[in-house]
Amino acid sequence: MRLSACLTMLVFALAASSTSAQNCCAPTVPQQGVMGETATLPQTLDFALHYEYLRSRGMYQGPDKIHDPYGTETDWHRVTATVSYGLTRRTSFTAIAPWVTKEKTRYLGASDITVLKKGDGLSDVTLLGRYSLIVRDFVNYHELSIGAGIKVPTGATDLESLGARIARELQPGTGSWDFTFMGSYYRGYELVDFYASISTLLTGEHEGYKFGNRFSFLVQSSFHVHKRLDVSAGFTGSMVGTDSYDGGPIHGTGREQIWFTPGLNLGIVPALLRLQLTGELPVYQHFNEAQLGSDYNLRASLSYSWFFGENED
Amino acid sequence: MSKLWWLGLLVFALLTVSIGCSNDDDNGGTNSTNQAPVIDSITCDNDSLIEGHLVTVAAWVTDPESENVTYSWSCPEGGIDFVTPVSNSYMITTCCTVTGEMFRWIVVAASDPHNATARDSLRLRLVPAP
Repeated sequence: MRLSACLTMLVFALAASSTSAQNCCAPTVPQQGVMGETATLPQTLDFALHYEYLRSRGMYQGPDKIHDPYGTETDWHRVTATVSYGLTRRTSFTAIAPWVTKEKTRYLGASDITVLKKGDGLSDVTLLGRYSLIVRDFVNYHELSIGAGIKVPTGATDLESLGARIARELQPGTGSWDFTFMGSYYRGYELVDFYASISTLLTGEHEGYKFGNRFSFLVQSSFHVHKRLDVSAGFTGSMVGTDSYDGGPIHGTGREQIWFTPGLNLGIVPALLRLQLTGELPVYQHFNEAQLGSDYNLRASLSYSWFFGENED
Repeated sequence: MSKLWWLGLLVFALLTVSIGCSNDDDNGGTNSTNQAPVIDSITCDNDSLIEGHLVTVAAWVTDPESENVTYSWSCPEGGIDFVTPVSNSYMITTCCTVTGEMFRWIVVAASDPHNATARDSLRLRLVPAP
């Protein structure tokens, strides 16, 4: 317990000292928050609705902010529905279905034209299986789990605007079958919880184009300040490889980012219905060549657990 | 024996219908003499596209039946914004910062009202802003 308190303080201290670092981030995000912090308990159905707003402003090259003569701006909204089912004490399954709206504007000063491009629709659905090596239950708040999943290309990749296909980054889907692998560790105490996860996404190819593979991590701690309120803080990060087309690298893709993630967790109906609010502030970034960075990301999650078993020991 | 004969007849009938349908599809479904448009050339009004500037790419297409042709433009590698369409042409610009000389394929698909489609492409040079 003393160790856990020290770790929590360390996380908060590190977070506080790094929020004043430089601003950044590209408009894509790791999915750990959506995958769920822990495996679903047996004979339980978890439903969740996540809303994410990703606001990007400013151009970066490597770790440095550079002048963007076009005032490029993107705003992404993503609503994701997840359903998880605990099949046994050790095994659970999750389906993740996102709906995205992406907008990008650029001002071409030389021609006095503002270019607005928009794409929206159902994105790619992910199906994830999870196996607990250390099993969490209603009395033991300790879990170690691994998981594997597949991202199905359900999102459109051929949306057009005025007779031209919009850019790949604005399409709702990637068109490729991707594979994801993850591991997570959770430890809960009376006053604090700890959570850490890693995941990797191995991307496939679609029409010769391959988005870069991705590795993501999340470390987080939360204080129980009230029986219905937790305050959380942590770091999340990702490393994304360079995209390629017909085997050749695509310029201006690939990046490394770390965000500070403060949040609130409100138990509307304890153990049944909860609301999570999380912010993401960039603390480190490094882009290959020049890429768009972001101001911040916001997330809100509403989740409901439906336990329909009998052995609530 | 009689059941076997009827079964054979049914399979034959299905195959006949199936082959008939696929022949129709091969010919556009509605007009067996329809031919796809022909893209004579794709041109660009400039040798290269400077970052943040505009160039116009155009597809010169003829349709054997002189029907209306619709165009669908794309850049499979990314890096291009399609700004304004004008008939058979499109004003385009770079979508991102260009840090060095690079090349992009501009692809056009020309379709007639029967969805008979022809495709062609143009390799475009992108250069950084001065």
